[in-house]
Amino acid sequence: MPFPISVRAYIARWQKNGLIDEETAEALLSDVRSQGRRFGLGNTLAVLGAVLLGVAIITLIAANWEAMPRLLRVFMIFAVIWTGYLGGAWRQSRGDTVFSPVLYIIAAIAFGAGIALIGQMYHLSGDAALAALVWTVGVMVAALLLKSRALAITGMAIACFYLFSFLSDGFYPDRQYLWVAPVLAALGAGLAWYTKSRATADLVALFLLAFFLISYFDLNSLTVLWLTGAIGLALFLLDGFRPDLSDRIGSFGPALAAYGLAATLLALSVMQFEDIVRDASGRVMFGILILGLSIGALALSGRRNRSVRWIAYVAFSLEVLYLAFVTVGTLVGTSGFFLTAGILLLLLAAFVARMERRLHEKNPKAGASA
Amino acid sequence: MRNKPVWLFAMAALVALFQSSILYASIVKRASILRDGKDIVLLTQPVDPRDLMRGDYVTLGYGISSIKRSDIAGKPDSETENSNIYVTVKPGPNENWQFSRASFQPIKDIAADEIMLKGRTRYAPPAQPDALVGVDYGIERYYIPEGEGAAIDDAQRQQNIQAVIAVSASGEAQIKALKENGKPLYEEPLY
Repeated sequence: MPFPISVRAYIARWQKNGLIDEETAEALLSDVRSQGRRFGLGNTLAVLGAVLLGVAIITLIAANWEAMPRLLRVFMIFAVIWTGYLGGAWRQSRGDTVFSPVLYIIAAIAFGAGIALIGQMYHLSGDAALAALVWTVGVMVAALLLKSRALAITGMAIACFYLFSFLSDGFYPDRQYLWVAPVLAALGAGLAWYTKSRATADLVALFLLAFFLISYFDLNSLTVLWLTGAIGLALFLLDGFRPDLSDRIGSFGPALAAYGLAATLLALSVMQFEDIVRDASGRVMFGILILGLSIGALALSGRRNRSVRWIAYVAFSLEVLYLAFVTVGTLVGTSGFFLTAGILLLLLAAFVARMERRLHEKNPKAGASA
Repeated sequence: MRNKPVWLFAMAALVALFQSSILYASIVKRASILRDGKDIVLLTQPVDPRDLMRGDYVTLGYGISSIKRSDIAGKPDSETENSNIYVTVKPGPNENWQFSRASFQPIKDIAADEIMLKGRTRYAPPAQPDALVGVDYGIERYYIPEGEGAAIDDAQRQQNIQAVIAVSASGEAQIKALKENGKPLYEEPLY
C-alpha cells in the first residue's frame, strides 16, 4: 500500500510497540533510505533555480542576438550543453545529489533553447510540435545514457509540452501526435522503470490522461472516450481483483489502478458533459454510472488503495453536487440552492469521514465485507 | 560499470555530442541549401495584416502560397490529412519567378527553366476544383531585429518586397535574402 505517513514514522511506531526489533528496524530504515531520498525542499529549490538559470541564459542570448555574431551564439549554446552534461557527470561522480541533476537540467534546457534559437536565427519556419518532439527525444536519450531521474522527469515534462503545442496550434499542421504520444508514453514508462523514478511514472500517467482528452476533443469521436474508459476500468479491476499480480510491480500497481479509475471517471464525466451540450436525457444514467463506480471502487479497493479512495470521494462528491444542481437547483431559488448545497456538502463530509474511519484504520485482514 | 566515473563521463560526453550534432546538422543542412541550391526570386504578398507581425518575425506570403485546386495534378496521399505538394516556378517578367505547375506527386519532367519546390498543404486538400489550397514551403517566416518589423510590413503591403530563395535539388527551400525594390534589405550569411 502507499504510505500516507512517512515510512520512517511507521517503523518507529512498530519498533516502539514491539512489533519489530531494533535490528529489523535498522534494516528497514536503510532499505527505505536506499530507495531514494524524498524530494526535499533543498532539491526542489535547486531544480527551480536550474530552470530559472537555463531560461536566463536563453533569454540573454536571444535578447542580444543582434550584438553577437551568430556563430558565437551557437557556440555559447554548445558550451552550456557540454558544460552541463560533463559538469553534471563530475558532480555525480563526487556523490553530489543536488548539483548533478541541476547541471543536467540546465544542459537539457540549453538543448531546447538551441533548437529554438537556431530556428530563429536561420529562419527555419518548421512547426513548433516537431521542434518540441526533437527536444523531447534528445532529453530522453540523455536520461537513458546517464540513467538520470532528473532528466527522465524533464523529458516527460517536455513531452507534455509537445502534446500541448498541438492544442495551441489548433492541431496544425498534422495529427502525428496520435501515434507519437503513445510512443513517447511508452518511452517515458521505460525510463521511469529504468531510473526507478516514481515522479516520471506519475507524469506518464498524467500525460496519457491529457492525451486521451486532447485526442477526444480533436477527433470528436466517442470511441476515444469508450476506449479510455475501458482501458482505465481494466487497469482498475485488475488491481482490485488480483492485488497479488498488481503488488508484483510494487507501488506502481495501485497507482496504475488509481489512474485507471481516474481515466474511467473522466471519460464518463466528459460523456455526461456532451450529453448536456446535446441536451439528450442521458445525464441521469451517466450520473448513476459515476456514483455507482465510485461506490464500487470504494468497496473493491478503497481499503488497500488510498489514491483510489480519494479519487472515488472526489468523483462521488462532485457528481452528487452536480446532480443536485441540475435536478433540485432548477426547482428551488438561489438561497434554496445554497441551503441544499450546504446540507449536501455536510452530508458528503460526514460520509467521507465515516468511510475513512472504516477503510483506513481497519486492518485489511479484518473482515472482507466490513 | 556505470558507477565508474570514466563511464559516466563518456556517457555525458556522448549525450552532449548527440544533442550538439542535432543542432549542428540543422545549421549545416540549411547552409548547404544556401550554398548549393539554385536561386529563385519570389515577390512576397501581404498576408492578413493582423497576422503579419507576431513576435519578432514577419510572415511572408507568396504567389505560390495558395494554388487553385484545379491547377494541381495527381491525387493527394490522403484526403483527410495535410499532403505533400510539388510546385514548379519559372522566371517571369521583371525578374520575379512565377507559378508554373503543381502536383501532389514529385514532378519528373522539370523543364530547363523550371525549378521545383517541395511544400506541404496547410490543411487537408479540398475537393472542389475552384477552392484555393494553402501551401507552406518552410520559408514563411523571417526573423528580424526588434522594432524593424513595421517597415517591412509597410513595404510588403505595397508589394515591394522580394525574397531570394535557395532551392535544393530535392525541392527544399531556404530564404537567402530579402530585397526592397531590387535593393538588398537583408542578406543571409551561410552560418
